[in-house]
Amino acid sequence: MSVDERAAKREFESEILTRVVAGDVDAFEYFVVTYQKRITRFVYTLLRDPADADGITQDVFVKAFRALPEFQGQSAFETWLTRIAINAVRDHIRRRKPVVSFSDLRADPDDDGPELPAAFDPADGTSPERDLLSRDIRRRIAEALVALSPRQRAVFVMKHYEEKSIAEIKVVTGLDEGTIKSHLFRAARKLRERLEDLR
Amino acid sequence: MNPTRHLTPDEIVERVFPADDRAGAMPEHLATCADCQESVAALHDAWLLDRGAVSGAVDDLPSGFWEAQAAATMAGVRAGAPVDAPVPEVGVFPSRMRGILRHPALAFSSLAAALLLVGGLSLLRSGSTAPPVQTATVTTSEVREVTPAAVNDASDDELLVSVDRALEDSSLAGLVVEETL
Repeated sequence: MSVDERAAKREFESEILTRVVAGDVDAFEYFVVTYQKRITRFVYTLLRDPADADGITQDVFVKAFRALPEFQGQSAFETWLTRIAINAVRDHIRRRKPVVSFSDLRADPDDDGPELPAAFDPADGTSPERDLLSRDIRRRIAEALVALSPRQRAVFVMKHYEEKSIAEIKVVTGLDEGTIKSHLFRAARKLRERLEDLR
Repeated sequence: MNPTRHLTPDEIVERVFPADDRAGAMPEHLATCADCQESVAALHDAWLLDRGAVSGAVDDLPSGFWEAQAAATMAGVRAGAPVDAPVPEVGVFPSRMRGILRHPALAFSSLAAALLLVGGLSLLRSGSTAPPVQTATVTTSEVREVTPAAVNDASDDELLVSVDRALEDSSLAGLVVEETL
């Protein structure tokens, strides 16, 4: 999206926001329809649980709607929404402390990792050995991600799954560049610990 | 880096998940070592598969799912308060009672002292010709206009307003009021 397109979109959204704040609740549906898929994907990548992703996404929009009077318009609506999503995921993680540790899960040889639709089975079919290795690494990546702190997880997912730049992550999280890199480094280190015996 | 040394696990992870926008220069060893290339490729492929899997799992959901999610979300939005209305303060206890909950010892000792004062003053004045102390019968209509939301608070407020009134009638009450504040 070009700079002009981005500015036009922001102006358009600003007009809709004005209508919503003035009482046109139905106008808010534009934001739901426009951003629900992106927020769902983001939350799902963070939590790896489809039901949680669905519920939290709905919650994010309701919270955003309620907090609209506080939205200053200094950032894009999408950025603000992502910030609300990160906080919602953080709150969800804090509320739901894992009963079983991931090290216990890793010890289970029959555990193939988070359930995924058959169409997204990570096996690429090149060879049984390679399929097995891919599955194993994927499972460990998912475990490592879920074991990260909410903030590390959000930063890692934005960088490596949403391919956002450090500058973009900085805008969303409000963290400085050094802190973001530190989170990324620590997240990668935890990932490495999960993959210690890879080679 | 020693060109004959294999990449460490940290270096393998750093190749795939750099903590910067640009990956660092490729180690000389990696260009020639098939084992290290295989290790980096395995992690890279697994990450791409994982990323594709989580994105695909969401992106390929049927349109009916998104319509249902949007409808449920808008139902939640509509059930909420109007955006320009002030957010009501939610709480089981009326605001005056919350002060008691925050400082129970102070509040109840003040209340006890106030009741003792009222009782003592009543005894002192019972034999005199002075008009009786204005005590405690205060109706809710005197306190404030009663709204449905305020009905539950009214009885709590009655007690506290009565104590306030009694304290105002006492020349010694200032000490207790100060402590309560």
